[in-house]
Amino acid sequence: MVSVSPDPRIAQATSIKAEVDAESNDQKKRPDDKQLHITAATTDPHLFTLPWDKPLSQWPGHLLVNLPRGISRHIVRFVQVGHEIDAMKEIPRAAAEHEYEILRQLQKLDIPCVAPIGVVTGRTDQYGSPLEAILITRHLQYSLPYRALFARNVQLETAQKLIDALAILLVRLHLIGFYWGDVSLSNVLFRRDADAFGAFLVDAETGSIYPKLTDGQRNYDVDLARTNIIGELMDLSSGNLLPSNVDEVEIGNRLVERYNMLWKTLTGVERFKPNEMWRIEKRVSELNKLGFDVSEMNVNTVDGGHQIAIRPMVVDAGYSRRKLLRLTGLDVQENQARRLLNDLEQFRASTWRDADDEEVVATDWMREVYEPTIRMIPPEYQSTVEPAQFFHDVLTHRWFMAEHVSHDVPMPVATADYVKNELPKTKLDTKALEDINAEADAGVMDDESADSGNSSTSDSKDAHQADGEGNES
Amino acid sequence: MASVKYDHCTRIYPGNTEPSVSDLNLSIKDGEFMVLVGPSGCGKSTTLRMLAGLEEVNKGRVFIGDKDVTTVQPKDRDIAMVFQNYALYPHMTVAENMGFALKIAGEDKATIRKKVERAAEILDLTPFLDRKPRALSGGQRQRVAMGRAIVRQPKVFLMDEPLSNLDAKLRVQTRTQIATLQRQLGVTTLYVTHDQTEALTMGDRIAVINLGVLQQVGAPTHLYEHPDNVFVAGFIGSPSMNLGTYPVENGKAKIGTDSVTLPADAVAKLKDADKGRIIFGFRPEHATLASASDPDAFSLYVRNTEDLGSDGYIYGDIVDNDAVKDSGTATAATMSDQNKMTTIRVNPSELPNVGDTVKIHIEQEHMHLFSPATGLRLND
Ligand SMILES: Nc1ncnc2c1ncn2[C@@H]1O[C@H](COP(=O)(O)OP(=O)(O)O)[C@@H](O)[C@H]1O
Ligand SMILES: Nc1ncnc2c1ncn2[C@@H]1O[C@H](COP(=O)(O)OP(=O)(O)O)[C@@H](O)[C@H]1O
Ligand SMILES: [Mg+2]
Ligand SMILES: [Mg+2]
Repeated sequence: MVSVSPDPRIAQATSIKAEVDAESNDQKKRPDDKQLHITAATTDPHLFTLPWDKPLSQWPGHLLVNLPRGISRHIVRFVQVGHEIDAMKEIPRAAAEHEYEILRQLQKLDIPCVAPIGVVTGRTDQYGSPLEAILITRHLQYSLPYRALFARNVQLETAQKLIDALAILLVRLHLIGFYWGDVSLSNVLFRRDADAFGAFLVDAETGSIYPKLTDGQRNYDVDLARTNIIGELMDLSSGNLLPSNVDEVEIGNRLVERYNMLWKTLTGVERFKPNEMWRIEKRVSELNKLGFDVSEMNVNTVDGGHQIAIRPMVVDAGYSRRKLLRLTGLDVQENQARRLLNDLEQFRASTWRDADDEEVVATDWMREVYEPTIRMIPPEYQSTVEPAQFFHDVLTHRWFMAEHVSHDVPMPVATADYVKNELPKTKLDTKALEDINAEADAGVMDDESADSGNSSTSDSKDAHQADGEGNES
Repeated sequence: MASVKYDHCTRIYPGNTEPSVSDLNLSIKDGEFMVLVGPSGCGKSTTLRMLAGLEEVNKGRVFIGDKDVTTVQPKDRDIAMVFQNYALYPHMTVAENMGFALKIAGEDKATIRKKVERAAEILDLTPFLDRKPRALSGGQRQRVAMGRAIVRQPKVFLMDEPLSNLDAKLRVQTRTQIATLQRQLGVTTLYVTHDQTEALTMGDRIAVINLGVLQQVGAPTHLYEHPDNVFVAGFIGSPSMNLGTYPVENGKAKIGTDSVTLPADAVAKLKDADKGRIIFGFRPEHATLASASDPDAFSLYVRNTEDLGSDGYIYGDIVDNDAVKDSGTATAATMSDQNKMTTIRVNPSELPNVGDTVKIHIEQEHMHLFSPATGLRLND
């Protein structure tokens, strides 16, 4: 059955006209389904030059950026848009608009997640048939999907660290009332954060935000996370990508344990006698150690004044991060911040400036230590190597060098040696990248991409489409 | 296999004053496919989660079979939640993708294989069991995802909008598959959707819910032909029912400039609270074009027409000279609401011209009449 639109020329004409909503524009206006419409927070003119009238699976190669992706149900591609790299996801309109809105709210709440850029609706192909909407997010720089991490020889410890990062992210999301509905390793991105990892939410499609989650909602997320993680690891194991000493179920259970431990520390009520008020300070410092900042503590007397009950009220991750930001203007992840602050502290001690203003010392440290090191990142690594992580890795490398030669190694020497001997090992080779992205597409629930995945391009739907492609090249 | 019963169930979220689900009484028969439908935020997921044991029930009880499960842990209820989003794992075969949850649950290899084979047979996936997802088409991949959901044969399936984020073509295909599948397996199913078309095409029975309150339960045709209240009337059916509120004079509804005779028993049920008015509804396909002199018809100004080959649609405004005079604009009062025009389905050969005024007649048996005060149905 073919549905006939009144006049094909009309569809043609409207598909060329594009409207842009500045973000403040009223939400009530519902653009109709046949008119290309871009809702975006910022309007990069480059967005207009993209081939919106083609299914994402058929976008020409020169627009695409080859970076690793995680497994997905929808078609996802990275596209160079001006100076930026954006991730495009083809998805029904309602879902795209929902996800965009949720990501914006998460961003406002300072949750680590991908940044929403816009939603493109009302797409039609050159014959006026409707195409699905596209959600645009900014490619999260320096991040990797878990499959790319496992492409290198990972240790059990790495797998555990990824789980710990996911547990922290999930707790943070639940604290602000976000119910995810689809927690998995595939739906987060990982960034190295000193010796640990930071997890960023990438797929908010099924999520919603409530004033406060019920235990039922939280437990559902945690249980689903466990099942998905075990499945994802079993899959790696089927592909011989999992170290043999990693037990999938154990790792899945670890998520549940870590999550519950964190949730209890962060939200649990603690009771003690009135002469044990030091316990408040202890609790705060415990939370700080976990990277959380306590901005309010709820203190009550119970049991007729014989006991004190405390409960941290507002907690937020990023204690060291904010301190470093205040001192140096560097915005990095929590563990990186702690490492940098440590180095700053050592700089202060070694230059005998304990009495000086923290801010002044920090400025000198930036100029004399941090910046010269960062400037040594070779140009070809600048888009993939995060400066703060580079600094951390050089510090670690210097420590090993010093141990080896039994004396201190100056920073420039350590940096040069690191760049020469260690940095090249971090590169993902082309073959591995190809495999990862082919795997990522293997589960896409879309007939066109499934066809193209089967390697025969002549397989495309019908003759006029093949024509269209012929004209192009 | 088992029946399900909600017995006066209420759920109020902490911090809320209004219940999200209010005093719900609903029974699902053994093996039945029950669809819960209603607008977003009406309490569908909450209802489903109460059955799953993921949401506390503040008042009332939930039964699976004869067993009161109100306080039973989710894992001890023998239910399966079918998720919105199943990812397929590229290194696993179709069989492994479908069976891995059973493996986690500790079932032995032979049992898993048996269950997987059974599901694959129903899903037409038997020839692909040992292939990887990469070798499948989009539709087949979607079926594998379904397979992952159904290999467990629990007492009850719970499905929360499993199709909402599929593209249109796949959604229609998968809809049919789920319905067929459920009937073959015979597992009692509670299926949640906001899409009334999905509800009508899939369910044995449909429960319509609005603002946390159950509105009506019944077979699709029953809800379509006999909505108990205005909400159900307006919600079920696409294109939706034409609905408008009109004064009643001498047993007739004054629709625009014309009058239409109403069934006497319905008029007799009007109360003072209705203030001499009635909600008059009819479905687009139940209107007929009448002659200009027909005394029992109303006038429609044709604003647009659509010829879909098999059907013709007229979109228009009811002619109301008084309203035109009053407001001084050319737009007449409209039937359903101020923004939506009255929709009439006719044979395409009968389509009038845009700008014509036509007469519309509705048989009494096709009228849906409701009390403006209570919203409840007045005629049989
Ligand atoms: N903004 C982004 N930055 C980096 N990677 C991204 C971004 N958006 C998507 N991706 C990659 O694409 C994959 C699939 O995206 P996702 O939103 O999970 O799709 P789906 O809804 O189909 O599961 C992710 O696992 C991630 O690797
Ligand atoms: N944790 C929560 N706290 C407060 N309100 C909630 C919570 N979860 C759901 N709600 C509210 O309960 C109502 C019903 O939600 P839900 O059952 O998800 O509706 P539906 O599935 O029909 O869209 C909505 O108004 C929603 O905002
Ligand atoms: Mg995803
Ligand atoms: Mg819902």
